[in-house]
Amino acid sequence: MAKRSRETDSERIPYQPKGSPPSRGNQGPLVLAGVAILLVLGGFSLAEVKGLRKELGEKVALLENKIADLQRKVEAAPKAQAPQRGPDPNRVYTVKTDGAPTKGNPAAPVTIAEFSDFQ
Amino acid sequence: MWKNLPLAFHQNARPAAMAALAANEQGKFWEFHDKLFTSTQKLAKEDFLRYAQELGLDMTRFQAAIAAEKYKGQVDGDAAEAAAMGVTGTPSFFVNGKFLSGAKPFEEFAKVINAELQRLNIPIPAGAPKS
Repeated sequence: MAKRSRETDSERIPYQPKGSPPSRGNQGPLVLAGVAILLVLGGFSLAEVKGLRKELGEKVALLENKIADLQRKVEAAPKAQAPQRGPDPNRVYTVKTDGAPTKGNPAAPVTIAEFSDFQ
Repeated sequence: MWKNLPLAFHQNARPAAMAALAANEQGKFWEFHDKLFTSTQKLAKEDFLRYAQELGLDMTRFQAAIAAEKYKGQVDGDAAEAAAMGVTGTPSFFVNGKFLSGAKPFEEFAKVINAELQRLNIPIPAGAPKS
């Protein structure tokens, strides 16, 4: 048994790095270290990255607020414009005549009221 | 029938409207209107006085009406009435209360007027424009 286990040990030890897939536990810190080195090489400190994230987060929040604002405005827009569309062409309006300068037969069947200005 | 809608960006339109109503008081509205329309560049107070003089108006009365802004209420009332109906531009017409926007060609008016006469069972006068 001892012999066998030694055999298996001697077999396994050289094979382990080759045969078994790289485990995360072993490689994770390495990758992080690599990233950290890259970041340091790139002139970034961890604090800077955190600051940047915070800043971006704030900017995204601002943009989201602005979009929500615009959405509200777009939803409100048709209601606000409705009274500015002008008189309803299918409606019959009563235009007050008192004091208004007139021309022609006061008993004429058709009356034209003109809203206008000088200039 | 003339209704006033002096547009806000027409600086002289409101005093001109008031002056025209002061002329109306003396039965010369349309004559004054024509003078204003033939010289839309000359709409200062002294121009109004000159037109009034040319039309032979009682100058004391005319000047008093202008000085007191006698027709301010009527002009603003017309403008408020227009706004309440949604009228925002000039000229705007109502033919028997039916809205007709802008300076439409004569034919457009003839069409609407004839339609009104027909609706009222009134024969369209001979020689009246048909379109």
